[in-house]
Amino acid sequence: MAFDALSSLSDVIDSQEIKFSAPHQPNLMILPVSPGRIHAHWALNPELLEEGRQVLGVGDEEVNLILRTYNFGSESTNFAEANSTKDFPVEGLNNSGYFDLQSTPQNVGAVVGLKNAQGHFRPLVRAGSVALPQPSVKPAPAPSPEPQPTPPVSRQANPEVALNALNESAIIARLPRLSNLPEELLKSPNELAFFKRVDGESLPEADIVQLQRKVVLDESEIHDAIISGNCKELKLPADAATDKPAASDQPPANAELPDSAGASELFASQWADSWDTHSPINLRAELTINGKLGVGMKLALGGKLITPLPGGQFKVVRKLSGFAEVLPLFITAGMSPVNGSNALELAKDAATGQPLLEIHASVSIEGRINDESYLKLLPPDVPVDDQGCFSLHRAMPNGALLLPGLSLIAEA
Amino acid sequence: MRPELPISLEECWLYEAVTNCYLPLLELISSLPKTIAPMLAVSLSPTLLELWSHPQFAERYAAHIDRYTAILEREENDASLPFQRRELAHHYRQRAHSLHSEFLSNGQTLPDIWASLARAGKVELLTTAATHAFLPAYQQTPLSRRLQIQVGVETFEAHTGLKPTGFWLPECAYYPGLENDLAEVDVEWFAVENMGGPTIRECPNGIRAIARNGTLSRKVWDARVGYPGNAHYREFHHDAVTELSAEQAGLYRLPNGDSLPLGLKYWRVTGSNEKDWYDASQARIQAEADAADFVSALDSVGDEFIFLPFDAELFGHWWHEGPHWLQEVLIKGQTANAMDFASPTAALAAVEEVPVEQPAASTWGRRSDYSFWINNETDWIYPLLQAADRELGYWLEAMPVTPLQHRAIQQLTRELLLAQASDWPFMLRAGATAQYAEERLRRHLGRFQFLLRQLRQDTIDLETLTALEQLDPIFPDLNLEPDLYFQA
Repeated sequence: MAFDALSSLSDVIDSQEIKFSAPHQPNLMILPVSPGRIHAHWALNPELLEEGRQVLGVGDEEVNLILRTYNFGSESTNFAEANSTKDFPVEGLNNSGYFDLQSTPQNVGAVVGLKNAQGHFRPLVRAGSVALPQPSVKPAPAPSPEPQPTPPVSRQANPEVALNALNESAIIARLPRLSNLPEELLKSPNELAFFKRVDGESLPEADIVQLQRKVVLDESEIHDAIISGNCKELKLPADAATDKPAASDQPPANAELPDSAGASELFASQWADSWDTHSPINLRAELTINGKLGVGMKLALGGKLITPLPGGQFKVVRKLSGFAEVLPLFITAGMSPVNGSNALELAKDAATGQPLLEIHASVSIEGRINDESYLKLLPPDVPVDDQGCFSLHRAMPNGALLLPGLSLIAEA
Repeated sequence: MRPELPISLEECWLYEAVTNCYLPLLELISSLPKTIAPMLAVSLSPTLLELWSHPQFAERYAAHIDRYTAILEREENDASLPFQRRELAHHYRQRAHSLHSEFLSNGQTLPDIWASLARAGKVELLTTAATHAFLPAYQQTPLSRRLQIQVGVETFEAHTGLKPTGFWLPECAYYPGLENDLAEVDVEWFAVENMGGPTIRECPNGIRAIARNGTLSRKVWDARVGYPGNAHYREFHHDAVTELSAEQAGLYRLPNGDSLPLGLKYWRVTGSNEKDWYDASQARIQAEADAADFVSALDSVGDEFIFLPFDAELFGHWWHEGPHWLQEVLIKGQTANAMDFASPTAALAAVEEVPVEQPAASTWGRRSDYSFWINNETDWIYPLLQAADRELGYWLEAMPVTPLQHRAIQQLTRELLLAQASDWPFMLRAGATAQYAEERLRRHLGRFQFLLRQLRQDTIDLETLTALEQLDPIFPDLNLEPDLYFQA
């Protein structure tokens, strides 16, 4: 077949819309992510839900949709012989999420079902078990050798970023639920605050803790740590670089070169946890907003139209590179329940009651604490390994959804 | 290969890898001294073997080398360019001609050359999953998993005439039980991440797992102090093709003004924003110093069994001096330090007592877990792939079917396999080429959907089916015996 004919045929074929999941095929898929953490995607249909309700003999308001996980050891993956189970309230007929099991089983299975007020559980769809990665027991790596002094080896500098002055007031202004945040939080020489959620109270209670030595939670330190840590994928605009090629008689050999530090950098980002060891604390964060668009709806983010995935689902992942963005989320995430309800329904079809735009937000924060004083910033249920590394995953409360400069516009 | 285009990004990437990595590695392996067992093992992926065996590969690669060397020759003769650049252009032109005429001018294919080196005992060859799928994500879809493994091994055997005893798990990603699928293709060993414990384990089904040495691996891989980041080594990222005029760049300049990679690399890593000219002799001296350092580190470990897998394209493609470094390590280690370098199959044969236990689920990714391939940016892929897997399973169970339907099901399988490559989630996560990865995913899943609709409606169009077979011509002899994939 001639090139032209092939090319035009491929254009025709590739312009097809992808539609896979048949609505009448309920399904639950679980994927292993990391020790004690899975991703689940479920697709149900209203008939199946109704059938479940009838079995339980209850109405809409009296049951919760639950993802029940079953922890197994290495011996058996029979659901009846699970070592333990854990229930996570979930929402939506077609949805997905990440779930922290609070333990590190070797195998895990899952069922989505309905649970009534008496605790009776009616399974709807089941996923077979999967093996999960296990915590590493390998010894800590030896300190990396410094580059050999001769011949002089100078690696390309990490991309430099012009840091804006930290505007504490602006950060606090973005957190309406945290309006009582003390301004001294961010640049206090001797103390930092950790917030505890108090049941029944809408506002958190600040608990000022004394640090063991003088530390300053300073944006530039943290920002540098983020840039020089694992955020190698950060792509900075060309004008962000401060060093311009020196003038010379000849054309510069490096005109508009991309930033790099040699070949290993690209590969290393996939497997090395190369945190900075000098800053008291390293943080990096990733905000994920996912949702589903109803028929006839469009969604723009920052003026740019979002192309939804098949089925109307969309996902926006934003890596947060600045301390001013990370810290408010860090604090808010610390207060958020581990697996709380996180749906924000922005619009509903008045005629059918179907959601036209549904949004969920979650935040993943990873970090390494080199100065033990900073451990007090962490919620008590977050484990820290012997290197000071931790990871925190939280569904975001609705009020925190639009925090980091995102603007969402829905239009019919 | 993109037969519908005169040249493509993918082809340029392939040609650059052949010129800078695979031909130099062949040169290195050919030059190694005769030993009792091969000193190295190389995993040749089924996709790479298919690309090298594509009916148009030899002709299109030769045409690329002609265009590449013509551009280099013009650079050499351009008196307005700096002397260093012209010298390097001369060196690259000679090198490209020399490698091409040594290995590819007599009608041999690259799979033939690799296979003949393996038969001569110079190298052990192994293979991997058909399109390098991240297998732990397919724990609940045995059809996809077994297709990946079975088609991978069959493709390797078809192109090399060899039966692999080792199997490279894509991304070194393992979960307990995966060895049972490997047993179906008579594999004897695979590699895993070192999660503590013994270097060699024997799974309950007798297949051995070898754990890589993380400390020594880091001397190469570490982002901050790994050897390839040295200031003297050649800068990978900047290609002077972007500086050529549209006329000079020819096919390598796209209509939108972007450039395709060509490999005009004249600078060294340097260490600052302003890049110095690349000095090949200084880089070789640095590679020899780094090799001596690595041999010294190997020596300090003592008599242990050390297993060191690396991405083949690190050597020569990403790290231009990598093949020279590797050659120096092998020669210096063997001659000056009396080290035994042996390929895994040969080395394992000498190990008798091995603890029987399954390794832990792991990868060679960050924190040894699966999160680089299953995360917020990639999780949307897997439900689509699972849905496609279900559809394919339905049609495989429906066989035997008409010859035309059989062709359509074969093409469905090809599109699904291509959509399963671990490269796509990797690129989506790494960010730099995420858009390309998403385009490829949409393309293969879209083509799958297109054919599926025709199959369901029994309206298979011969012309479009033929077009898809030419657009994605991988695994032409795909074996779809249902028994193979539905066995207990």
